[in-house]
Amino acid sequence: MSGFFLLEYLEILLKRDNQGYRFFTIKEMILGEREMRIMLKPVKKNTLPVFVIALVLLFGLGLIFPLAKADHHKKGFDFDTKKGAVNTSSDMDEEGYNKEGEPQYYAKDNLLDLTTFNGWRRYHAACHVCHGPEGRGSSYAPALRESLQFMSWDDFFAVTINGRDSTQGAQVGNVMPAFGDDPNVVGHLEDIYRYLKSMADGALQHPPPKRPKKLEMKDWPQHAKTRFEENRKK
Amino acid sequence: MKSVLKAAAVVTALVVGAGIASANDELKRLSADENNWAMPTKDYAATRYSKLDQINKGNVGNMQVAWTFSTGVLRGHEGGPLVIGDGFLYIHTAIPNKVFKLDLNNNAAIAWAYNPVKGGKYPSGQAMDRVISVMCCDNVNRGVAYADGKIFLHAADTSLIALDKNSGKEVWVVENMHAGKGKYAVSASTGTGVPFIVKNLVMVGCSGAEFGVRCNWTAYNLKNGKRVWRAYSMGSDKDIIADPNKTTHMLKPVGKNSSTKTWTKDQWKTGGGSIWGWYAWDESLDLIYYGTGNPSTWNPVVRPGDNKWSMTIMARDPDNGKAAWFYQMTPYDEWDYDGVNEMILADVAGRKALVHFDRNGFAYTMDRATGELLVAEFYDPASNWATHVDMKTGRPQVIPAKSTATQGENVNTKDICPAALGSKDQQPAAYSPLTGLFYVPTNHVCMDYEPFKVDYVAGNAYVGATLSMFPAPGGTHLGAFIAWDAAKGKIVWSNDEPFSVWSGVLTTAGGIACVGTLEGYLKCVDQKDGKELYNFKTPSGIIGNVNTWAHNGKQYIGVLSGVGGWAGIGLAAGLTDPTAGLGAVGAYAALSNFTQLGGVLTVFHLP
Repeated sequence: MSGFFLLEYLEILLKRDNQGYRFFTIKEMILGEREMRIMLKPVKKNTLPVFVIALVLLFGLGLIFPLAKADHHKKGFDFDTKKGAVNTSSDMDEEGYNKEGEPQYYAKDNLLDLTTFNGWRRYHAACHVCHGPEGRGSSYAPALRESLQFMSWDDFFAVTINGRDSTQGAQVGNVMPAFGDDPNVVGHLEDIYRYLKSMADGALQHPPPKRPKKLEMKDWPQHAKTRFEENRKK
Repeated sequence: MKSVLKAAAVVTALVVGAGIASANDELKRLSADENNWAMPTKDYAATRYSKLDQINKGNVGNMQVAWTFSTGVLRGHEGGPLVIGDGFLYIHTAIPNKVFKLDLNNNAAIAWAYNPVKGGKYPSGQAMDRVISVMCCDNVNRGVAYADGKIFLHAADTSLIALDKNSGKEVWVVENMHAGKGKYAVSASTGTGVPFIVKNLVMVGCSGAEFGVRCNWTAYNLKNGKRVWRAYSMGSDKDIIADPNKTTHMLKPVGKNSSTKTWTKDQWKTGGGSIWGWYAWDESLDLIYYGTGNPSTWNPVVRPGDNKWSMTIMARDPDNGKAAWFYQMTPYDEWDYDGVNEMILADVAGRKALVHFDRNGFAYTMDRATGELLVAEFYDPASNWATHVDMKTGRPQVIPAKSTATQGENVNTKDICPAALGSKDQQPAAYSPLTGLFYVPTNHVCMDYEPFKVDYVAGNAYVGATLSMFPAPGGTHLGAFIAWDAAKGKIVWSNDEPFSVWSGVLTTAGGIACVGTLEGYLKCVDQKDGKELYNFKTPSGIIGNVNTWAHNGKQYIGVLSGVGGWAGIGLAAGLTDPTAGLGAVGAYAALSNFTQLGGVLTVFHLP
């Protein structure tokens, strides 16, 4: 694809979510309109925003597209043959993200780290009534354990926050409600993503009725340990 | 002058009264004609029993499809067709809630079609997509009702719509639940239940307990849509139309503030108690019967107290809503066991009884005049959250290990049977006077349930619990079709099914009981022993009701297919996924491996 796109304008929304993370959106034109969201690596409150530097870098044409796209159109794990399973996401920094800023999990067989386990919990509270148990789908909502083989974190985030109806590509009669105002979902969306992605990658194997279990804390990645300490203080 | 006016008023009242009385007389007459299926429950006793016997256990094995009709709508199709003897059949659909009038004298050609959604909006002004986004459990609608030349539809946006049955045009429309304010300028309340017509009133319930809506039952004048009365499921004595001294529970007066004193602070204002099942009327007692649903939220820790009158069977005077008696089946619900299922009126063990198969797993037999509790037994042996119901107090004796509130927030309470979708959800059972038994479509599913803290934001789901659902231990089947003795409280026979049996049952004088399965089979069995006599695979999983009627001397059986509803998230257990290479036991597959969407009415007859 000899893609050539113009940076139409840059819209920076200096939003912080309830954990102090910043994110912004960029509107661009790539042979048509496209909106992308990029979740930057979290920065601590009141420090000089690293994103300013990142912004300068990202202005470069052709940089943003491959970054945002990552490798989501390559299907790794095959549900039928069970081939191509990854054991865990290894490309993970201390805060639990990869280079592209996507939330990462640690999962093996039926075991999850704390943050991904929280995703299992939150998914089965808010999402499973439509999307089915373990992200297997229903007669009226897609199987997210499969969708996340093709859907990026940015898109997952955008659709969950904004919703999607038949004017936006959902099947007629299928409507994804907007959860952007629901504190019970927004604050846990990264964890829900972690949980679904762990299944999409074949890392988590938990056929029903087997519930996933928490790994021993010593095996948790750093961000899960940090989260545990923060929860204890609350 | 005054006396002339008075006389005129009396005469007018007599004339008008006579006119109004005849509307319901007409409905009663149509319903008594066995050739018809003139109301959604077949009759006011909700028996779903037909005296037609042209199709019977001797020949049902020869049934064939007479004709089919695609509704043109996907998503779950509950309810069934209406036949009122005018040569036509009336059928509804899932959202957008179309209604079709089909000409039975012309191969079911479409006489008229009505769509309440115009320009993407419902009559209340709400966008269809917005309404869909607050439907907790698929886009279902349970059907239309007839009276006085009008077809009544309770649409998803809570509009109650009266259509002229000849032209299909709107005669009047009212919005049952008001829109919210400000940022949430549309209501999170929706409508899925049938309109219920008694005398000169058309009545509807309300949905939205998962969204913190305080639900109610409302009666409108069927001629002009004027509201006559409304009874909330919780609130002040006036709101719930209860008389502290006359309204009883377990034969004792309920006393003052029977509802509000069982809630913490203002929790009753977002109390839930939705009503969307199936209803009955005893004409001689002049009492209507319906059940209320779960208290909001699913996290019981935030709403200590009995949460009256959620989960309650209510008996009311249809003219003014005054409550004769209540019976709360699941005080302080911790599992989402909505009490909305059908109320079947029958003579059981010499009593004028009401029989109710509740989500909580208990089958209740009550004296329908007084609300006396006669029988309360589990109709699925797997049920385990209570040991029994204390027959003096009417309270279920909860087992602490299965009490999600006792175990606490953020604790996973394990292996509770039945699961939140109950031993039976709304799919209505049927009664047969031939055997005196009840034929019940059941679920055989258990759950783990973990409550946690949740914030209420108007317009959003207010659930607050993590759920895991799975087949009851010891087997791989997720459902069963059973015959139940309501006098003894015992199962007489039981046919396992791989999936939950989510369809409304039909019984007939021909000795058969018919029900649909989630893979799409219409099955007819012998009422006496459950032996399968006929099956046919319809285009999609069945969550609709099996109805029957006769036209030009020929009997027909019709069922609405169209998989969905809460059953749409069903799992098959123990069925081998053919490509997985795994063993049979423990293999799980989603319902979509077995059936796809598609709203279709299939009508059968004998060749």
